[in-house]
Amino acid sequence: MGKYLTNQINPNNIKHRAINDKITKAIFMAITVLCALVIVLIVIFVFIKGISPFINDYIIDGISYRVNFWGFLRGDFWFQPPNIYGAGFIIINTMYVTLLALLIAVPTSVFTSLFISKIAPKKVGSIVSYIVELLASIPSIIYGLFGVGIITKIVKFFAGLVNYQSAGGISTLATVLVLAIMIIPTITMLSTTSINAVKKDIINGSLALGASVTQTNFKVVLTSAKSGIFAGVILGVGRALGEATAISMVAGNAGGGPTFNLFDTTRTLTTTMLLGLKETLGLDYDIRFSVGILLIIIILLTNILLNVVKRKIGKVK
Amino acid sequence: MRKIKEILLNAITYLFSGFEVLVLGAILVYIFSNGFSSLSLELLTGNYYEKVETLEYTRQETIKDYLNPGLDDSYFSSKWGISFIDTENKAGEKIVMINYVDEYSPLLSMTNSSTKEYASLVEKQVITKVILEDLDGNMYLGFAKNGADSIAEAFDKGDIITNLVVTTSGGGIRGSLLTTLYLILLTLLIALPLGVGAAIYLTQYAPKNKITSIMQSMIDMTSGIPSIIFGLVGAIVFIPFMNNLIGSDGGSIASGALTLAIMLLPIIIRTTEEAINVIPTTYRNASLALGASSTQTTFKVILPNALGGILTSVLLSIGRIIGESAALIYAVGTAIKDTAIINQKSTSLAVHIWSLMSGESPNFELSCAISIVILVIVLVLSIITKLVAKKLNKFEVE
Repeated sequence: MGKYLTNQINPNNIKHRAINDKITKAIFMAITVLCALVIVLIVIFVFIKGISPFINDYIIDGISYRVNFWGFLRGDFWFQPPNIYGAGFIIINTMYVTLLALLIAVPTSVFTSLFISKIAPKKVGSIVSYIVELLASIPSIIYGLFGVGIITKIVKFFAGLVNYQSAGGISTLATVLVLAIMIIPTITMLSTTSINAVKKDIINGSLALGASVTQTNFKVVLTSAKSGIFAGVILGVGRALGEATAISMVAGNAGGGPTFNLFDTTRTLTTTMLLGLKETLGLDYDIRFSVGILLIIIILLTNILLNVVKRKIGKVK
Repeated sequence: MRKIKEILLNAITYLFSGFEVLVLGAILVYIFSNGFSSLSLELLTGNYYEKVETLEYTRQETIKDYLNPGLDDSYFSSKWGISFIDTENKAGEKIVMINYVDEYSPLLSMTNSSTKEYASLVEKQVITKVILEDLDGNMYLGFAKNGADSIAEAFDKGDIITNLVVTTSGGGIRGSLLTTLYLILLTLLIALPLGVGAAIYLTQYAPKNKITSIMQSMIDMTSGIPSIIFGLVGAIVFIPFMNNLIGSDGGSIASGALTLAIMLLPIIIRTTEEAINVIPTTYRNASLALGASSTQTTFKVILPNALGGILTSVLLSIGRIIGESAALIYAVGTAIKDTAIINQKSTSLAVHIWSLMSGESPNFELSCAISIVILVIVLVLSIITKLVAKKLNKFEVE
């Protein structure tokens, strides 16, 4: 014991341990810096590759071409051989589809989360809550499969009702429905958390003032939880904009646009990147990275915008 | 009037919740009704591609009389200990299938005519043609189109098999299952040390200043990047990197694992941080007061106590890896393989579905069967995650 203690108190040993601690700290710090730099590296690499179609020459059939940047931003046709690419209509399509999906998903999610935490009997509420969790954990490829197998059939049926010739149900509406179904669980889970977090005092205060339970739920609880609900919406928008595999199975990759008719095929940024991916060289491959840049920028801008809005409406007066 | 309005409002919430329940129900019913019939052990262990082999058996042994198992509608060759049955394949063509092979049958040790490799006949293989010779050099032919009885008869007459064309049916997902497993292992091997390390730094060592909070928010921002962008990065960074490092040609499981690893870092860091943050500071202070160095405290006090959170992050990561498709389509490729080799292309289960569905003729049945496999794994993972969270959050005292 005595020997062990002297060993511990030995100044050499203490110095040794201090050096050890410094090395450990340095290693952990290096790892953290690396992890934090991932996002920077992602953006840099995608940018370098993505601007290459606009600044480098590509040889197609012996003639060298490059893509016109402004034409790319404004274009209403994805591809006109050999070198005219347009993504303007794709941006509009992406926003349109996301907006419609939100119109379906937000009310559904908000009412469901209110049901789960306030209206339903406890047991029913927890079952529904578990179902929502399950829906959230289903991989997107399965939603895509479901979209192709069921949703396109339903859309085709409705298109038939209004005598519209749709491409076997592959359409804007199918895309919107698949997206909505996919983001509902995300928004519902966050809304439920924030509704559960509403202080009992506020609810009791409302009840004491003579408001009925339902009035309290719809007017007081929802208002108090709106900041959290909006956080869910932001997450949902992010997921909707970035979703690729599921919607590329039902979108149909229209050649031009923008598409506003619900029964026509559409094309979003992500489906453009995924579909027809065969070559891993050349202009047709590199231009997908340019679309990637657009996607990153749009997600970033929407996020900033929504966060500003959230800060504005988030304050409970 | 107010009452009616309130009932209506409440009814609306019931309606919308019912919609979510309906969606889950519809997905499950659709997936199971389409895929359940093709779910079997062969699906999990079988090859995806149909394999046609020409086999031979030229050694001469004393022929035993094998016992007939007496299966219905089958034709048994007692000389070789094998039984055949007439049946139809999925396209409705007549085929002859092996439905029993004796465990001592010489047919278990045949040779592949072209590669000279060892091969054996197993049940469920389909025989199209067989040519046998007896010891006097007489030839006996059996063709599938003449039925199982003609093949069994040819077998009974001959002593040497000179030519046997046998087809092993495809449609299995063994390759994709293995690939998914490899991806999980490799990804966690890369991502876990990095993620846990970063979480330890951010919670234990990092000074509370601007740089730390910038790093923290950069890591948070990474989780907002859609997976397809990670796929792009995998394609331009990790594929060339791995091509140089391990000599792969184009996408590989290794490049996919690296891509998934950087994608999962934010989840692992966040979950581990949360687990470390709930460890009472008294633990850390007590350890330091007892004379342990900060390194010792980190590895012997903090890490063991954060194990539950780390386990949760592993489970969450596995779920993400199994479901991921967009990133892997770019970073690995969509070529379905029967073997999983780290420096070669292959598909995970999810990408397997993508490949099946994006082809000329989508295969709904197999896609749904794979979906069932994925759903079962995801369900089990979510249950385990709940149990782990319940068991291991000993610090969560309110």
